[in-house]
Amino acid sequence: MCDDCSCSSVDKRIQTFDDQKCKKCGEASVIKVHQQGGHCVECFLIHCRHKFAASIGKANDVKYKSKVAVGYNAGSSSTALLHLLSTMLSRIGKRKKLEFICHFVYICFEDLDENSQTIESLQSNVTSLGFTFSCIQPIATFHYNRYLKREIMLKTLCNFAASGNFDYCMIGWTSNSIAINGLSDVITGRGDGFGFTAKFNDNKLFPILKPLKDFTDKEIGLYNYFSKTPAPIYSLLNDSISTYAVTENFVRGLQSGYISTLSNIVNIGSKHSSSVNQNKCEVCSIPMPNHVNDSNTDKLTARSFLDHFDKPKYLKTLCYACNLQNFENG
Amino acid sequence: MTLDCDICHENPPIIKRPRNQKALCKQCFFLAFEEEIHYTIVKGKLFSSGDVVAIGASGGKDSTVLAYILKLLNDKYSYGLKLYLLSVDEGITGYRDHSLATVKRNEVQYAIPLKIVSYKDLYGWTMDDIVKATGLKNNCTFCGVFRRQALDRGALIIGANKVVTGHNADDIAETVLMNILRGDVTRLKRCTDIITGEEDALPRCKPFKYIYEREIVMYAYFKKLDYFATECVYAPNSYRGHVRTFLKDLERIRPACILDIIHSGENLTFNQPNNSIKRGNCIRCGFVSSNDICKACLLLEGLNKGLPKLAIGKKKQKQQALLQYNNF
Repeated sequence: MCDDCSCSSVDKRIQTFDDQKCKKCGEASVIKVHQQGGHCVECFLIHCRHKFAASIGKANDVKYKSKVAVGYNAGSSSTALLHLLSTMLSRIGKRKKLEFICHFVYICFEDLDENSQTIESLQSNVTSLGFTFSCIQPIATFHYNRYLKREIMLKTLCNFAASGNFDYCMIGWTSNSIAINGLSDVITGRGDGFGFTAKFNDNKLFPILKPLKDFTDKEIGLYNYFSKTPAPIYSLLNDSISTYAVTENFVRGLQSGYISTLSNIVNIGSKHSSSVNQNKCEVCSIPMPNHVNDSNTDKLTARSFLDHFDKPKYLKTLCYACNLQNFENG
Repeated sequence: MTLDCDICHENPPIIKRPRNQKALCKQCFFLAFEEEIHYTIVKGKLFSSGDVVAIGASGGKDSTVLAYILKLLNDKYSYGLKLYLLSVDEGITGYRDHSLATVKRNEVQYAIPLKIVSYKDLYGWTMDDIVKATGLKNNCTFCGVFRRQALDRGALIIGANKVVTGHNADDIAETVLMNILRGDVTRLKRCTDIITGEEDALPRCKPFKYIYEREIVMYAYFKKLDYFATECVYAPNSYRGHVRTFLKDLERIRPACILDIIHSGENLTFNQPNNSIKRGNCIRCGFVSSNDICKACLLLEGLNKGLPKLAIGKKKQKQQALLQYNNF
C-alpha cells in the first residue's frame, strides 16, 4: 500500500528484490552475486569454487603434478586460498590438469621463538587439510615502507621456491589487492611494474600465480564466513598516513559508487606490456631501460626534466622510483 | 625551513618547492620557474619561429600565467611567435561572465589581442541551458566536447597554427589516474603527450606539463597577476573531482608523487594494435572528425530533440545509426 495517498498500488520506493530465490536451485537466497542474481549459501560456495578452478584452468600456466609454494599468513584471502585449494584438489576426478602439489609457506618477520604459538596454530590450520607447511625468515628484516616489505616477502617466497625446486609460487591477492598495489605502483613511479602486478602470472623473478585475481575482498570475506573458516571477514579502513593507505581508502570508496573501478584497474594492468629487459632493479625487480642513467636522450620526459634540473645521483642498480625513495629515506 | 635561499644564499626564502623541497627566495623562484618552462618549450620542440599561437585563456591562474610567461619568454628568447588570447564563453552564470572580464583586462595588460567565441553563437546552447536539460551528471562531457571544437574554430578564425593550453602537472597526473580508473586504454596512451593532435591542422601544446599547480599559484601571487580564482560551479560533481581530491591527499603526504604519476604514465605501453584513426570531416558541420558525424553534432542533435543522453552511454552506436537514418 502506498504511504503517500493510501491508494492500493505498490509503493515504488520499496525496492523489489527479485532475487529472493536462488537462481540455481530455487532455495531462499542469502546473497546477490553481481550479474548472476540471488544465490543460496551452498550455490554461492559452489560458484566460488568453480570460479577458482576456472581461473587456474583458463590461465593454462599450471602443469600436471607441478610443485607449488603457496604464501600463507592466515589472513582473509590466504585462508580462503587454503580452503579453495583443499576443496579443488580433493575433487580432481578427470581434471588432471588441475592436479598439483601444494606446500604452504609462512614468512615470519618477528622472532621465531616469541611467535611459536602463532606458528603452531598456522601449521595446524594447514596440516589438518593434508598439506605440508614451512615457516621461514625473510631475506631482509629492514624495511621503511609497505612496498619494500611486500617486495621482501615476494622475493623470500621466490628464493624458497627456487631453492626447493618448486615450479610456481602462489599468493592470495584478490582484485582489491591487485588494484591497490597496481595503482600504488603507478603513484610511486613504478608504472613499468604495473603489468606484472596485475597479471595472473607475475613472471618478474619467478612464476607467481594469483588465482584469486577475479575475487573481491567482499566475496572472499563472505566465502570465509559461509565456509566457517577461522579468518577475519573484512578489514577496517586503513588509517595510517601513507600513500598506500590513502590509495586503499580511495579505491574502496570509489568502488562503492562506481562498481567497475576494481576491474578497470586490473584490466588496464593486464593489458600493459612490460618489457623483458635483462637489467632489473635490485629492489623491485622491474626491468630497467638500458639508458637508465643516461639523461642525454633527445626526448623530453619527466625523468629527463628531473635529471636536468635536480641532477640526482642515481644508483645504477636501482630503478627511477627506488632511487627516489632511497634519497627520501636517507 | 632554512634561513637563506638554497640557490643564492642571500635572501630569505618565500617558497619550498614541492618537487625537491628546495627553499627559494622570490627572485630565484621566478628565474627557476621561467627557466623550467623555457627548457620544456625548447626540449619539447613546441614551437617554430613564425608560428601563430592561440593561448586558451579562461581568466584563471593557469592561462593568465601562461599568457604572461609566453609573452616574457617570447621577448627574452626571441621565439618569433605571434600570440593571441582565445577565450570560450560557455555561458555559465556567476562564473564565466566574471572570468571573461579578467581576460579582457589581460588583453590590455599584456598587449595580446583577444578573440572570444561563445557556445551560444556556435551551438545555440549555453552550459546553463544544457545543465537544465541534462542534469548534473554528464554535463562535463558536453562542455569538454563543445569547448574543444570552439577552441579550434576560434583558432582558425584568427589564423593560428598552434593552440597552447595551461594544463599543468596536476592536471596531467589527474588524467592519468582517471584513465586508469575508467579503464580507457586509448586515452591513457596519449594523455601524457606534450603535443597532441600533431596530425591535425591544430596541434595543442602544454608547456606547463611538468609544473606544479601550487607553483603556478605562487608565481601568479608574487607577480601580482590579475586572475579569476573560482572553480566552475558544476565541477565538484564530476568524476574528476573525486580524483582531484585523491591527488591532493597524496600530494600532502608525498609531493613528488605528481611527477611520479606522469613518469608512470609516460612508461605505460600496451599490447593493443595501433588502430590509426582516420581523420575526415563531419558531413553536417564540416569540422574535423574521425566519424561521419562529429561528437559535437551528435550531442547537439540530442539536445535539440529533447534527448540529451542520445550520444552518451553504451548504446551510442545504435543511437548514432538512428540519427544517421533519420536525418541524413
